[in-house]
Amino acid sequence: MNRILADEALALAAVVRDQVLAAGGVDLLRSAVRRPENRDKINSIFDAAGVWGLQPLDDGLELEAAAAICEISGEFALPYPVVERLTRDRHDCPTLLVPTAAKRCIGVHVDYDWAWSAVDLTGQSYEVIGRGQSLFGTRIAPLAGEVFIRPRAEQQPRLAALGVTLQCWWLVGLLRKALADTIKYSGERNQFGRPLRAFQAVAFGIADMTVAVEGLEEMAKYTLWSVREDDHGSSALVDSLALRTIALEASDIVLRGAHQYHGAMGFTDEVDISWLSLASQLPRRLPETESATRDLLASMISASEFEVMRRGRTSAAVEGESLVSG
Amino acid sequence: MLDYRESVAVARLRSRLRDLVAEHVPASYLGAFTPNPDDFAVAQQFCKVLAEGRLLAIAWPEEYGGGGASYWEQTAFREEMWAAHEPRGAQYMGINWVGPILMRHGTEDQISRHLPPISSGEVIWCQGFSEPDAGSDLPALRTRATRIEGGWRIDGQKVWTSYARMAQWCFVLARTGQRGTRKDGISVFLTRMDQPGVEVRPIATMLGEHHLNEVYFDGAFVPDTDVLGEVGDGWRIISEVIAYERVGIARYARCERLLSRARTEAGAAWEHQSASLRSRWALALAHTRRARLLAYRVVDAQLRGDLNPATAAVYRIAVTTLDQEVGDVLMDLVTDAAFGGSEPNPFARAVEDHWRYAQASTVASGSLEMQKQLLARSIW
Repeated sequence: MNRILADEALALAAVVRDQVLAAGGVDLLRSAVRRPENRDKINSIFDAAGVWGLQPLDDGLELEAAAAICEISGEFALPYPVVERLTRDRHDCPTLLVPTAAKRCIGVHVDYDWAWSAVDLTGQSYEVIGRGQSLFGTRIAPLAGEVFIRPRAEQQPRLAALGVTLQCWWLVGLLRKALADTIKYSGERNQFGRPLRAFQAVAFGIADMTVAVEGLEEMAKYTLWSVREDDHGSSALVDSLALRTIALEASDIVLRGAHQYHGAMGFTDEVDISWLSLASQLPRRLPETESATRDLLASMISASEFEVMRRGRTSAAVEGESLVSG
Repeated sequence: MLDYRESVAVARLRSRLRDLVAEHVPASYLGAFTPNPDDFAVAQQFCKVLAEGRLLAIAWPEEYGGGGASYWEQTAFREEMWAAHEPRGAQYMGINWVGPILMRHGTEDQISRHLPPISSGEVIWCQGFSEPDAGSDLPALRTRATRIEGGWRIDGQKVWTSYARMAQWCFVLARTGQRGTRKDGISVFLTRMDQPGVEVRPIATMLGEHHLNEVYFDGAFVPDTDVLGEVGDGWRIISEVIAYERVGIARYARCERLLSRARTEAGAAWEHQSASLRSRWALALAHTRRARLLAYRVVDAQLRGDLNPATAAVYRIAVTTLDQEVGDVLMDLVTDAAFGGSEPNPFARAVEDHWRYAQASTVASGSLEMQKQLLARSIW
């Protein structure tokens, strides 16, 4: 077993992270909300690092690199469609995740004039046939817009699994940063003559946040492996929904705690928590809410077996003999 | 790159264990501690079967009668046993940590006397740790060992002692230092249970028959040859015991087995369960996977030699709360069948048993609050 991402994937992400930090980190989001064209700085950094050349569905190493890139994009809540550009369909189009039922489809950054595709959480793929009203100006989703879609006669469960999994890696990065900021703040902020961390209620809350983040990280790595191992993608899609349920639950725990322990300071524009909290809203509600994601997972695993640990497709070939079942 | 495949050796071991369980353990078995004495006999016999195949002490080095298994084989072994309602019964304690601690700290004489009966499944050990005023605060223990000719006299009271009624030996912590000392005044005594001066009183509990007990020591004798390690150095040994318990029981394995069985047992009636309950069931399965992955993170850290208490605490918090979540989901899924019925319902019995036992999961072997405290201390 190996539960550590490949060195090459981590090295690429480290290079990109340094450049993102040099360009301002979370300030890139503050800046893009004021002037959306400032998002192009992010594109330049990623383009120069060769991120857009990654082929996550074709190469296991590039899949891990894509995940690591999404994680650092989440860490700074980068206002750019990183997940969507790394989730490219067979037409090489950036792909949005959209709701399963005929609901209004909202995507972030869909003002970019590209040929977009879409896929829902059952693997049904769609062509994006137009863009509607811009939602620019709302505080909670300042860079979102409406899209219109038409079903394609093809199922792409592996593409959907990739999109959901990368979106969760984005949340992993965001939640880890929110946790780190909260740990730092609760060590610095004094009340009643001692730091917040000295109060057991606060310490226990942060322990719960830590369990949520570290459990999510392990799930995210496992699911990435599942995407790599599953050529068809139907099992990986189920795994990605299981991951999403854990990611959304972790988001509730971590961001609630982050707000609570930052107190009023956490609402201000000068600290990053308020920006992370707002930026998390879209992937936490779309393409499906937490309860809808759980219902969909329940319906999928009620209909077929859910192996808590899958064995992986290459075991028998690598070991030169069959594995036992059961 | 990431790799979660299970090796052929581990898969083979799982298959072998499942075959043995199917052959030697009745499908209705829910553990050794029931009102039915046959269940205890099943566990004792199963330990013999495991011992004959050098599986009982699978984690031990071969020189001590063990199987020399890898960490991953040991993990699979724990999972398969717990999923099958622990058919080793009371034996697991001797295997899991008493034996390994004796290997590290025992004299040649202690090793040669105590290890063979453990690896062959012939002896049951219990642990004399907790006392009425020393639970989570173990260094507050008051059981006293007094020097007498040829050995030590033990006086005091232990409580919540699992398996004490059937155990032949007890791993007793007693105070040998001055009054007022804490961690630095504790020693370990390997104590025979079948002697005057040792009285066991069962405590009736919701967890099951014959499980928890009080143990009274009133002038029990331990010869010098059964003092483990140096006198006064017991806390160092206990710290290692606690480390062995960090991975502990593979609770997630039984959760997984019962959640999966819930779907199968329901058959077509599954569709009549409420959508919200099926949703909770699905979430519990996702939590089960998370707990298993956190357990594997602990094993991986052990293999790399960098296991820290916080990593283990994260796992323990996740798995003990999982146990209770799954108990509640399963009770709702079987509803009134858990309270009895006109016909025997083995699955409902298993669920009811799981729910009762799960109530102790956030208390036993280090409470949930102690785990959070430990984790929080590691953060800053």
